[in-house]
Order: sequence, then structure tokens, then C-alpha cells
Amino acid sequence: MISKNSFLASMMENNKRRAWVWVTSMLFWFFYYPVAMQMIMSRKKGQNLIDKVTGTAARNRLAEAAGDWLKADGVVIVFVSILAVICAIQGFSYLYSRKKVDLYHSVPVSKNRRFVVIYINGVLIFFIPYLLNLLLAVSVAGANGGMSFANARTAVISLFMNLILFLGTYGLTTIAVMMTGSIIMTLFGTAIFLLYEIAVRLLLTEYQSQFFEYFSYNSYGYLGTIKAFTSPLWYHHKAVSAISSYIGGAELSLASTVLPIAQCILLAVLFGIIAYFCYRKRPSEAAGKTMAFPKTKGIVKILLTVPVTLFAGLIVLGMVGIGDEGENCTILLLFVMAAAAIISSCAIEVIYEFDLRAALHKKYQILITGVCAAAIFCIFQFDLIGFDEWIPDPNKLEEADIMISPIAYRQSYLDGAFKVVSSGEHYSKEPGMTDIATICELSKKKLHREEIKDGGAYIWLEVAYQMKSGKTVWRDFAVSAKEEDILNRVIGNSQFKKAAYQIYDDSVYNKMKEKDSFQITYTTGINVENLSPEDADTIRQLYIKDLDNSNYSTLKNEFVCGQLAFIVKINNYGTTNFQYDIYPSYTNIIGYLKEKGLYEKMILKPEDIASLTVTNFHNEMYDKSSNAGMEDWSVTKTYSEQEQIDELAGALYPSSFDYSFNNKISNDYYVIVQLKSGATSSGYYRGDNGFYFNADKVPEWLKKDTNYE
Amino acid sequence: MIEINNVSKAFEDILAVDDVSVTMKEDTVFGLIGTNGAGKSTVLRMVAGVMKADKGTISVDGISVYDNIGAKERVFFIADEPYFFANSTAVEMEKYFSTIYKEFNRNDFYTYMENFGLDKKRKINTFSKGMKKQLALLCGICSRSKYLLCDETFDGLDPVMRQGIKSIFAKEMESRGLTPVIASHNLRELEDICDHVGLLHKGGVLLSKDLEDMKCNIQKVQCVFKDEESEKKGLEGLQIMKEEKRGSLYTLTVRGNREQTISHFSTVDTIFFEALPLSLEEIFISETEVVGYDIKKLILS
Repeated sequence: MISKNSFLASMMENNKRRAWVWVTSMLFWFFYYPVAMQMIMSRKKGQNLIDKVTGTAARNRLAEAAGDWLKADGVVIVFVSILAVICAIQGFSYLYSRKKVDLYHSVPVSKNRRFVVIYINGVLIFFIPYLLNLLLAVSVAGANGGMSFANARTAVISLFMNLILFLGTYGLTTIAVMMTGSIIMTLFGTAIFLLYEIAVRLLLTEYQSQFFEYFSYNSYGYLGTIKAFTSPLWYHHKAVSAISSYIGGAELSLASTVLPIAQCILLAVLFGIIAYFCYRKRPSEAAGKTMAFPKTKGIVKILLTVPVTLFAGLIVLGMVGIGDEGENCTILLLFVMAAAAIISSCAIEVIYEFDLRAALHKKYQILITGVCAAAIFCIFQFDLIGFDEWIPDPNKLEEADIMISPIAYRQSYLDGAFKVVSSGEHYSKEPGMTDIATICELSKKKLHREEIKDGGAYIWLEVAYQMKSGKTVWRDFAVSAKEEDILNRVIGNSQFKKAAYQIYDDSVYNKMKEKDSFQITYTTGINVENLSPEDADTIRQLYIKDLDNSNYSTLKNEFVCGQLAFIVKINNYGTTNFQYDIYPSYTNIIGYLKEKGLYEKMILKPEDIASLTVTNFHNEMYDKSSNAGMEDWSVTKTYSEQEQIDELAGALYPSSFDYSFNNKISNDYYVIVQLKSGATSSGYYRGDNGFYFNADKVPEWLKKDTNYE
Repeated sequence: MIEINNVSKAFEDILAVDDVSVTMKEDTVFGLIGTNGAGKSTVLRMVAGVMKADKGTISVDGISVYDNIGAKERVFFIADEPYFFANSTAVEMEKYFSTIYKEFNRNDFYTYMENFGLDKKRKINTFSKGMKKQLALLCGICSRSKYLLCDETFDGLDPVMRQGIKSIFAKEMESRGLTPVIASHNLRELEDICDHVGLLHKGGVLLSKDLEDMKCNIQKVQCVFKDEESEKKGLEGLQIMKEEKRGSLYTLTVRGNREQTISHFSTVDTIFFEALPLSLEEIFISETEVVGYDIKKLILS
């Protein structure tokens, strides 16, 4: 049994040998918190005097500045990570020295107690100076009138989050110390622990992307976000995002707020436990060696050399490309990969043995590396897993989330915590389409790369197949825009619409409506009109009614004639627009707009136009010329004759609207409208508030007039 | 009593200690002798609980030593290169050991420090190698642990200091039963201090005996036989470990006690006969040469 006194005595004794780390930690936090806070407060007070801001406004400015500083991100995250690495290495560095090990391991102190004393001391080196200086900073801010409840909460949360980051990185570095026998190897090991999973996932993602036609980045998380279950940096990022969103006004939710934080804490605890077991098992004779556990040498070596070899292959593929032109480069590829396997194996062996002559020791491991890398390469090269051939088995398919790019990526989505989420994340949480026959038929319609290269209109889809086994299979593919029947069955499907258009979501809509900032606007591309929030329910119901009746044919054959936008402030930092296109067949919502006198009023009338400035970019020249991007072939003409305006006005469509499904809109032309009222639709870039032409309605005289000579 | 039973220890491909069995009795000074790389330090480090044996058991007073505070409290290990904290003084080391060893005798420590002329406030990193070894020995003695494991600790100590340490050992052995275990490859340094000697060779134990027994059981004889017949008779029935002949003068190293040896030669016609005393060094050389190892140059440092 350890008495409290003797434990404390051990802690004190251990601290005597960690004085410089205490001083480093104390100095950083002292300058970062109370000193910097006083400087910020003084500067803000000076600004208030210059701006003649007094009273509540002045206090708010001070509180805002103090709150920003108390968030303690950026440089603090870097310092916390570095301090964690220092504390772990310095605390257990005695394990690197045989002389020190002889002393520490021969004295009557149990391994458990020694580990706990050093480990806890490391945490205290971070925590105590942080806490003391944070309290000082809060006092300084308070004395200057810059404290508020929100700031106090921010301070506590940042302390908590940085503690979690510290514990995660500290635990991971401690594991690295236990597994290695020198400081260089520990640093190397820590970097590998922090980044290995991310690097391997990125590598495999790139390989899939290179070799598999229908690979989807979504397979690796929501919209290509690489997960790294072993990296505290990743967990901390997730937890900070969750808590920032919560502070920003999003609602507390188990999945998006509590879970990432809990994962972060669990990971930190898990790393600590693993470090403890490694410490228990670490042989004393490992001091000064590269690896503490000789049996791990070969495994670690192969785990490093295989990705390096594959990465070398990826570089060659990036240079020479895959396919016809790449086939001739197989020898180069094999040579580079073999060289990478040999060089990386030799380099690691040299590091292991601290001897250049050891480079070619354990040649069989080079062979294993080569075989593993070749096997993995072949899996991708020859699609041995049948990735591209895969079509879902109807009997095993539960449902599918189908994301049609022009729809999914133009929409904004909120989650249950009222936080903006990516379309991938949103779709994954919404019920998918259960029309299995349609999903399977759609999957069979996917086009090959060659077919897409040939040109023609096609629609890009990202599909997450939810299998009955619980597995999610992602695929990206294109189908021909001519596949009207199957696309009608998808886009016309009510389940698809509910996932694609969040206007259907009662819960989110009701939350939006409760916000003071909530507003609805209507635009035809040149003018914007606010609609009455009191009519929000009516507007929503009418739009949904029209949406229910729409399908792919609507999007393909009609031109967007207006746009509704539901606008809401979702947190302290910004607003989000939820835009919904209006097509001529949307008679219900158009009826409402007509009833309010907005529909006719908002339409661009030829009699209101003073002149039209048309630019013909001559895109066809880009295909013909080898000097594309260097020359300007555009021809710009201005037309102010009423006859010309009348003819051209009928062909104009606002460039701010989306015509992805309608291939009749020509982006060869860009039109700026000068109104008689003096207003202009001009913008500096294409796609601003200008207009496009309906390609079918471009008059011949205009083509001739803007011809490039 | 420290019992080492069938202990083996390998460092990757190198077998440092191979099936060693030794018993270190209480109230004796145990000398662990061996050539370079014989495994002396490894054995001591395992006895101190620094390293774990791959095979076999090590117990201190019947308690397994590895990661066992109960056993480690009875042992103080002085490594061949003792470690002292960076920039520390003797006072700081005393404070450290006082927190670890409950019975650390501070008064004795400072008294010995004064007697040995060591400055307690001087930084240890300014001490000479010998002074550091003295300090380590004083820490070990004052820890009042029962067993003091010294790895090459006496190497480099001047004769006055060695005598001083020896007298402290004698005093502590008498007063509280201190049992020093001293590893060295320098036989001359152990001869006058050890009661019992364990001979390590290539990771294994060649012998482990009381020094006196060992000295009594090996004799060195010089003789000149009268004729060939007496020569034949004289060499018969002897367990000869080493035989040298220069002219007609034989120099023999033989097993057996002094009386038996003299008695044997009394029955043989000799022109000249003398039984000479053997030094520990000669015994060690003889024992290791028997197994075909010429270590003269290595141990005569």
C-alpha cells in the first residue's frame, strides 16, 4: 500500500528533475495569458478612446477581444502538442540510458508507482501552469471590464479541450518512448503514430482514385474527409469543431457534440493504458537501442516500407499516367517501386543497427516488402476485388442514398444541432431510396471513362448503397442525360426528394422559423424581393406541392424562371441560404407570386432595358487553338436598338441560376443588361449577375456581328 | 541468501548468461569473478531486479526479486558506472535515497563523507571517477540494505580507500549482517576481501567455492624426481591441472589438499620437493585453462 505522503514525496522528488519543463510551461502560459491579455485589454481600451466608444458598447468590445483570446487555439494547439511530446520524452527519458535504468530500476520502487508518478507529473506540468495563468488572465480581463459569462465558459471549454489534446498526444508519445530506445527514434515514432493512419488512408484513397473508375471519395468519410482513428489531432479537431458549433448556437446533440468529445477522452485514456502496459513489458536492456521490443522491428519495418513503395509507384503513375500511354512505362514503374522497397528497407535497417554496413541485413524483409507492395498494387491494377464491376445484389440491398451532383452540391443542409453539414453527411442521415429495382437499374447504366471522354451530356451521381449487413458501399458514376426514364424514376421519387430538398424537413423548418433572423426572398436573377415571413408556411406548402410534381424531365426541359431563398442565421458568425429553383411548371408557387403581384413585376421586360452588352467568348477556339488560355478571342458588342433588345430579351436567362440539366443554355455568350432606370446587372466575372442565352434563340445576326476575325 | 537457479539471459542473438546457478550466503563477501563478457554485470543486474531473467529464478531471502519491492529493499546495486542526477550534490543524492530506503542512515552518511574527505556540497559531476565510486559505496552502505551489489566498484580505488571500505564492510557485516557481492575481473582486488568466489566463464559458472576451500584444494608443487621410475610413480595418482617441466624441475598444479599432496610425494624419491602457496589469480588461471581458455592477459590488469 502506498501512503499518501510517500507518493507525494515521490512526486516532489520526480519534479526536481523536471524543473526546466515546469519553467518552460509556466513561462509560455504566463506570457500567453495574463501578459498578452493585459496588452489586448490596453489596446482595446485605446481603440475605444480613439473611436469614442463608451458604456456597454465599449465593454462589449473588450469582452469580445478577451473571448477571442481565451479560445486559445492556433499557436496554443501547437504548443500544447509540443509540450505533450516534451513531457512524455523528458519524463521517461531515463529509459534511454543504461546508467539511469540501473539506478531507477534497482531501487525499491514498483514499476506501477514509478509510471504513475512520472505520468501524472507530466500532466500536472501542463495543467497547473495553464490553470494558474488562465485564472490570472481571467482576473486581468475582469479587472479591465472584459469578462462575461460567455468568456468564462470559453475559458473553461478551451482548458478542457486543450487538456484532452494534451492527454492524447502525451499518451501517444509515451507509447513511442516505450517502444523505442532513443530520443530520435521516439520523435520518429511519435510522428508515425500521429500521421501513419492518415498517410496510409490517403495513399489508398489515391490508389483507388487512380485505378477504380467508380471510386468515390465519400467512401472515406463525408466528402473525402480522411478519418484517422488513431490520431489525437484528428479527434481534437472533431471535438473542437463540435464544441465550437455548440458555442456558436447549434443545439447540443449526442452524435455531433458529445460523441466526438467522448471519443477524444476515450482515446486519451486508451493511449495512457497502452503506454502503461508497454512500460510494464519494456525490457531494461532496451536502453540505447532503436527499438525496445525486438520482435516489433520487422513488423514496423514492413509497415513503413510497403506504403513507401506504393507511394513511389503512385508518383510514377502521376508522371506517366495510367492506361495506354502508361503501359509502356511498366518497366519504369517496376524499377522505381523495387528501388523504393530496397532503399527504404536498407535505410530502416541502418537506423535499427546504427551501422551503414547493416543495410542489406535481413534481405528477406526486402522480399516481403516487395511481395506485399506488389500484391497490393495488383489488387488495384487488375481490380482483383471487382470494385468497378460491382453492382448491388438486390437481395442484399437495403436502400441507397443517391446524390445527384447539381442538386446535392447546390443545396445547404442543417443537422439536428442546427449546424451546417456537408451534403454527404446529410444524405447519410436521411432515409434513402428503397426502390431497389430502380437503384439496381440505375447502377447498370453507369458509363465508362471512355464513354464520358467521347463527350455528350451526362449526369454525375454519388451513390451510397446501404447494405442489409450494415455496410455502406460508395460509388461515383455518370449516366447519360438521355436516360430520361430511369432518371425520372429517381428524381421523381419522393424519398429522393425528401433527402435532396430539406424544405421537406418539418423539424429543421420549424427551427428556422423560430429564429428572428429568418426571412424568405424571391429573385428572378436581377431583382430580389422579400416575401412575408407570415406566409412562410403557405410558401413552403405550395413549393412542396410543385416539387412533388417535378421530375428529371422538368429540370431537363424547362428553364429556371425564379428562385426562392430561405435565409437564416445559424450561429453568431453567419447566415445560410436555402435556395429552391422555380420552373414554369411550378404553378402553385407562381400562382402565389402572381397573387402578390410579384411575378410580373419581377420579370425582366424589354421595355425596361436601355442596352444589352453581349460578349461572345468563342469557346470553340479553345478546342482548336494550342494557345488556349493565352489569347483572348472574345468579341463584345452593345445593342440599344429596341428591336434588337426585344429579340434578345426573350432569350436571356440569369447566370446566377443553375442549368445543369438543361443543355440548351449557352455559356458562349455573357450579357450585361443596362436598365433604363440606371441600374445594371454588371459583374466582373462570368456567372455574376449577368445573363446567358438560350442557345436555340441566339439570332444569326448576333452570331455574325460578334464573329471573331 | 541470494539464490540464482538455472538462470539464462540473452540479448537478441547473444547468450550473456547461460544456465547459471549460484548461491550467495549471508554474512560473507561474495566475489563474482569472470573474464570480460563472462556475464558478471548481467548477473548482478538481474539480482538487483533491473533485468528479468529469460529463464530460471532469482530470489533474495526466498523472495523473487524482479519488480518486487520487498526483495529490492534488501538490495542496493552499484553499477559499474554509477548514475548521479545532473548537477546534483551528495546532499541531494542522500535526500533521494532517504525517500527510497526507509532506514537510510544520514548520520553515518555524513560521517563517512567527512572521513573520506568528500565535499557534500560539491557537484558530483566535478568528482573524479574514484570519488564517484566512493560516494556510490557510501550511499549503498548507508541505505542499510542487507545486500550490496558492487559491479567493478573497487576498480580504480586507491589502496587507502580500499582499506577504508573494507573496514566499513567488516563493521557493517558484524553489526547488521551486510553481505557485499563484488564483481570484478581483477583478481588481485578481490583476493583480500572475498570469502567466497564464483567463477563465471562464457556465461556459465565454472565454480563457486569458499576462497579458503579453493586455496586448499589446489596445490602448486615444484619437484625434481630422482629417476624415471620415481617420476612415473610421482605423477601417477595425481589430478594434475597444469604441468610444466624445465630441465628436470617439474612445476605442477594439482587438485587436492596440502596434506594429501605432501603425503603423496613423501612416498616418492625426490631430489627436491616444495609445496608452494597459490594466489587466487593462479587458481583462476588454472581453472579456466582446464576448459581451454587462456585468460592470463585479460585478467592481469
